[in-house]
Amino acid sequence: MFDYVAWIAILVCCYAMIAISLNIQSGGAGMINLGQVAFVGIGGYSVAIFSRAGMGVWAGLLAGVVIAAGAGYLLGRLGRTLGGVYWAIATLAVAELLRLIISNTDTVTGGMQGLGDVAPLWGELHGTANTLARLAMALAFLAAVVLAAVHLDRSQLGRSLRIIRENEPLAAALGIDVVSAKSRVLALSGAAAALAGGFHASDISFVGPDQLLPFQTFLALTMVVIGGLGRIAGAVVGAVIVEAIYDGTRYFRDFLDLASDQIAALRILLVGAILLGFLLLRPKGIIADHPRRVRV
Amino acid sequence: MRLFRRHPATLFLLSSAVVLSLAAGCATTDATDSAQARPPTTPLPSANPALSGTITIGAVLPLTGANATVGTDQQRGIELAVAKINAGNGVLGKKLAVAVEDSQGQTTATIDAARKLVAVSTVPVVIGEYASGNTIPMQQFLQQSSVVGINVGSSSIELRGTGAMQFSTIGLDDKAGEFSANALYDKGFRKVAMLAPNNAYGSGIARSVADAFTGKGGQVVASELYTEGQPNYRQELARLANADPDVYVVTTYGRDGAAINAEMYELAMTSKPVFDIYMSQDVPDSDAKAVEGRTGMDVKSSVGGSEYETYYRQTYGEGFMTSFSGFAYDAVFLAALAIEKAGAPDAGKVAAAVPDVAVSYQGVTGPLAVGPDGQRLAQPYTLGTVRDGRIEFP
Amino acid sequence: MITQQPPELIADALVRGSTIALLAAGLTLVYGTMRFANVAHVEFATVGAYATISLSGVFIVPVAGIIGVVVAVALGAAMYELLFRRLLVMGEMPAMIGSLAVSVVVQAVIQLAYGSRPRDVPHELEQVSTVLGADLTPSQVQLVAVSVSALVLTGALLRWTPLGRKVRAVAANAELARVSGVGERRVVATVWAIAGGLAAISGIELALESSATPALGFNLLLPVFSAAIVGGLGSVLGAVIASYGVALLEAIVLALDFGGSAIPVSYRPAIGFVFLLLALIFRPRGLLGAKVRIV
Repeated sequence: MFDYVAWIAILVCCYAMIAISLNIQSGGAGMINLGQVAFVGIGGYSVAIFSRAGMGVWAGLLAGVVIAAGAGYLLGRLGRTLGGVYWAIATLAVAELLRLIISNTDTVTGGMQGLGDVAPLWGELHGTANTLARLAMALAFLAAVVLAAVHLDRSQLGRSLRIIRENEPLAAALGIDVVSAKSRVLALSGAAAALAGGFHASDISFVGPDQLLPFQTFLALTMVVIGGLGRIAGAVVGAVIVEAIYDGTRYFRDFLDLASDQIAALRILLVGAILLGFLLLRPKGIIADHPRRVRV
Repeated sequence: MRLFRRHPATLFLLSSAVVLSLAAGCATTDATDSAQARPPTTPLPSANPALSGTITIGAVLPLTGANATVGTDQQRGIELAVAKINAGNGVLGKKLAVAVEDSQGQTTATIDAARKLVAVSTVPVVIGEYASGNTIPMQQFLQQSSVVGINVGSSSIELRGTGAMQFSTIGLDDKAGEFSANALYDKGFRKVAMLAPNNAYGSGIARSVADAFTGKGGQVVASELYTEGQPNYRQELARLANADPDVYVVTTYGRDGAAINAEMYELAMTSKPVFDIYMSQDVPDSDAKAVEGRTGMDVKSSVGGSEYETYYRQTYGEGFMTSFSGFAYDAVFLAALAIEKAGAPDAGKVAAAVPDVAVSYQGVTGPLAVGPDGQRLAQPYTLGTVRDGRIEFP
Repeated sequence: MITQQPPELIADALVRGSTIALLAAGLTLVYGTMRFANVAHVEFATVGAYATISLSGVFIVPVAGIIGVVVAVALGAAMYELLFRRLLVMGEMPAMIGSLAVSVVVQAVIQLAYGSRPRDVPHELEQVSTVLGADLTPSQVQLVAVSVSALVLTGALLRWTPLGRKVRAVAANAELARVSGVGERRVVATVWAIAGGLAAISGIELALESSATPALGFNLLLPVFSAAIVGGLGSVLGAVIASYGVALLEAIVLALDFGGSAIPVSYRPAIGFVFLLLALIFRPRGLLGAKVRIV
């Protein structure tokens, strides 16, 4: 039983990392990225490919983080001043394109069936030691991402991003290099998401294209909205709540007499309804962003 | 939009239209289900009252999703086996129970289900799944968790390498590929066009057939792997038709199978011979006109007339839904006998006992003896033809 | 070299393009007049399809189809009143995210009610007939005919009726139109009804030609948005041209044969995506989009 609770806790850590990575883009800079799952996938597949090629999971993790950061930066550069709707659709298209390519390339990415037999990051442990090691590592990664996000929040870049979020033309008028700022935050965001993806691939020892569906980004987005745009603690709280609902209701079947795909639909319905509820009733989320104190 | 508040009548009419269509939708499903009257069925044999306590093993099956028909049939095989075992001596004096989880046909859900069975229900054996793309990662996970896995529906040759505690009751694709290629060559075909789903199963079988067929001197003029779950497959079929083969070799299942078969008919491709690999996966769901006269192959347990078939028919009031219930049935017996031989529901001991038990157990799908890689050594196949929507075996 | 004849390519493009065009036209119209990027727009198609399929047991198909359209539009109106209007007050992006949530909820409800397996209107198997050099089934011919008629009607409405002129005025400049007393509420209702109606028709025709799944609409989301953006958000004509254009491009690319091997059919959506991304990089305002626009 402890194993199962630990498993949920680890999932929460992964999702929290992804939620934070999304938050620094949207809460930080006002960019709604509907394709965030692409970065997660880059991390996951890097780890899997490196592991199976015998080059080591840690090398794969590092490669994934670097590639995702690079991809994020490039995305920022290519996107230039795309915002709002255009940015959302463009990022969604990029993520779907990646998923299509992965699904259809049998040789390197395993195509539709994915890649299994991914070695764990913590070496060959068994039983409770294994579970504890996984949990410890998940928490460590989460802590790293949180620290990075806090650091970003307090830095010059963070301030620039908040101005961009509130009023982009003003930011440009103030002399902020908008494109550069966006690119840098995307690089950081990509790295964080890839870290989560790589860890998760190693954790379940499998990575496949159905982990790259837009619904995953939707879950992360819900966490961010519930938690409150711009607040790191909010992203973590959002992750806990959404994961609790989404995975906790997996066993509805034991209580309700519905077919499994109906249970699946019910869980998705819950998450969507909650997102709508928060948007309409409490758009600032549970932990809303507060005006920063200005030290004069 | 304010007109809604001013005209509640309109609002009422529109909402009743919505409710009406939803209700009509649900109503039509019920109607079609009860439309076919079933012959009377016999209840399953009741459990031996001398048994006390329960030993639980697990199963992960696609009860929903594209392969729900096969998953349901696999579940039937399990039910039949459990009832029979419990009516007899049970396992180690206890009743056998199989905890069945739904894989929904998705890989991550399959692994989650397996994880739940292993962590929460602590089973020593997990039976399943159906799609190779799900069974392979599941068995890899089971191996890492030191739990025995028995594959009952997948046939990808990659299952040879999933681990020492992983077994199969169904023969793998290299044998099916060889059998099919031989059959095609013997019928005089020299140019084939293949269609299979884009997953571990499809790409594996396409490769097996292609290798075996070209080895005999034939030619594969076209080979398409289709992405599952699309509304139509005209593009893929058009490519096959353009290659001008002697025969179309298809292997499909579920709703995709029904759609593809219908489209082949619509595009007049059925004027050429069609050879269907694992016929019982798609023919039962398809329109009879579309599949009339096609030939194909299947695993031998789908041939009726045996004691198992009678048992199945008496319990469910109809003949085999697919050819896969027998493999699940055999897997339950294999697991039960292995636990009995091992003396305890301990995964390590059970794994050691399986090969010994398999040699002496004559399954309903044929001899179950396994080789050193845990895979079945002999898999009987048979050719068949479709007449009036039903598969006829010689 | 190209393995298919021009008539076949054009036929493919017409069938696929019509489905996308009906949806893209409505989407771009809604965005133009209300600045609302409605991700749930494609769900009109799904709802219309399922309503028609359910009712086809009770009514004959054409009648079921009409009621299906009504149901979809009614649902859309209700959603606008209850949800979208409030979200739009908050801004363009909250509305878009909200519409994404609505889309997810609608799909979930449909899956809850109907299950995830495809549903179709039971029909006799048809056979293709050769029309002007291309093989088409009767359903496909119907799809194209109905779609093109609907688009032409809509175009006529927008161009030649007073209401249509008002719609175009609002689409060009909502503030100015409001100030000059164009009657924005009526325009919004009209636009919403047209967009919903066209989308529902698209979904119904698609379901009749193949089958309906809960993801029927969502699978078309990206191609539809791509067409709308490439055509220039706000321009119905642009959206329609872009839809058929991308469909033709898809047909051509898939018919290419590189000496024995071809691009896997599964890559079809990728062609549209690449086109979209190139357009966004080099010409974000689209084919016929307005020149002054903060993108």
